[in-house]
Amino acid sequence: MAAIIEVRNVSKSFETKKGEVKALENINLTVEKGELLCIVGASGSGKTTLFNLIAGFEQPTSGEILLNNEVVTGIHSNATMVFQQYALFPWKTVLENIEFGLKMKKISKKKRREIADEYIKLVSLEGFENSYPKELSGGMKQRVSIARALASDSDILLMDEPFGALDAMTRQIMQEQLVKIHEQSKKTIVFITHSIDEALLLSSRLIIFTSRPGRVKSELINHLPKPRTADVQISKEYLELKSMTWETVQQEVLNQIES
Amino acid sequence: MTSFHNSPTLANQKNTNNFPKRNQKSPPKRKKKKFTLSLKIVSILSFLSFLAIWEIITQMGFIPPLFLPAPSQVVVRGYQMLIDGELIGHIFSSSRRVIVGFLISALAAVPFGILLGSSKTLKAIFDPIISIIRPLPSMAWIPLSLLWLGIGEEQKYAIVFMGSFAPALLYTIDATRSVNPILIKAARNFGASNLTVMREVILPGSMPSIFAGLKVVLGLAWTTVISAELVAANEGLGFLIMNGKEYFMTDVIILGMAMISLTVIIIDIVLNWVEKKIIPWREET
Repeated sequence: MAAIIEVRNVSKSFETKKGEVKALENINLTVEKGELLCIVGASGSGKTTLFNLIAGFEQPTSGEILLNNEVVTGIHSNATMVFQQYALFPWKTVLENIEFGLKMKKISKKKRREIADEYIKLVSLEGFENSYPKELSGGMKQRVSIARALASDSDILLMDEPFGALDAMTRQIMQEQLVKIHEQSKKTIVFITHSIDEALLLSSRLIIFTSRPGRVKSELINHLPKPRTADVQISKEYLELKSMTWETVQQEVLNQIES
Repeated sequence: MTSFHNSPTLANQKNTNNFPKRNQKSPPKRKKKKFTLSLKIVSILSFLSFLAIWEIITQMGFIPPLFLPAPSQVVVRGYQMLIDGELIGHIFSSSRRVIVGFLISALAAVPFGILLGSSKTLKAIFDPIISIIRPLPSMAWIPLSLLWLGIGEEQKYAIVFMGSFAPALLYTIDATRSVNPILIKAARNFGASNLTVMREVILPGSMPSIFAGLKVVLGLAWTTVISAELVAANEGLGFLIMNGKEYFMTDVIILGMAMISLTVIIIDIVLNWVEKKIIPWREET
């Protein structure tokens, strides 16, 4: 497997009124092509900052980020973000939202429509093509947003707590769907979450961040059998992995609360 | 790409998904509709009783008609003036002044406001002038406009323009800036250029707030035109009221006031309808 994202010695600080705040410190991280990597960390551990750096919205204070062996120097469309707040365009229909990335790539109207239709099927939203986002439930909105990201056909999906705003049941269904979509589309997915369960269900590998400044604290290969059904979730292996992860995260959460 | 769409797992999962469908929502909605209908009846009855009490008090002679006329007297006066065409003339000339003045200011303020809202440099250039003009009530422009333009129609248009331009501009600047930054970020992430972000995100995204702002401005335009007509005019609803006062015709005054209210209400209904047509995607806030 080839590395698709390489984060090399990346640090990022911000100037604030209270002085300099270090968001990320000396991050080294490689993401393999086709991998589903989960990043777990307490809030304020700079995970979102890392995504902003990968997508080129911000530049690292030191170090560099490579996508497909090319250094990221500015905003580009090779890594598509999926936001917790969906970020759908309210004035566009489901179809038009999904077509947006393709429109930016100047793909013809007819072809756009064809591709969008495929992804509407993929996320089971047939019949809602011409609905506006306000007519959809949270889970449906997030499926549109995932379809929009997939349709644009970048190799990398950066998902920033995408299911954080959903209720527990919808969330579970979305997680199952995401695993299927990942298996079928072969995209590389980096998934931020602060739910250990979610990370264990989805990932092939997970990385735990320290609290501010964010550093890679530990890395864990997740070899739980797939599909990760309810049975797997009560298996001894699962629980061991979970308690191990929690022990690592716990200290960071406490640090965060105390600071 | 196409291979995985036909996979059995996907088809299977489609059936097991129990995502909420729209039809589940309709029963409570119907109940709500019934409730709002009965509330509407309450409102109508309350308005009718208000008129009835007013009518009784004045008819029984508690208040002299010169001081406050009975509603029926106002209605009769309104009917007479409607027949001889005078009333329509006044309504028409006030409305025309409002609409012309308002449209000119909207056409100037909206594009200019979008520009200022999206460029910090331009905003810095024009900020001083705007902050001086902004606090001026439109009526403060009346003396100067009378000296410059006389009491003709141009003066009325100008006064409405002056009264609505600054607020329309400020509403537009605010609307442009209030577009959710995450939408701009999402668009940029898909490779949108600055110009595309403007066309695809900022313009449509600021529409609801611009429209809401313009509705407020239209109300201001009415205030302005009535004030201008009270001071110097020979037709229009403001003139009608002032004229009623000169001849102690309180029924004409009340009639004029009622007509202003009615006209503004009708324009508001029309605007709400237009808004639903041009911004069907608007999210309730």
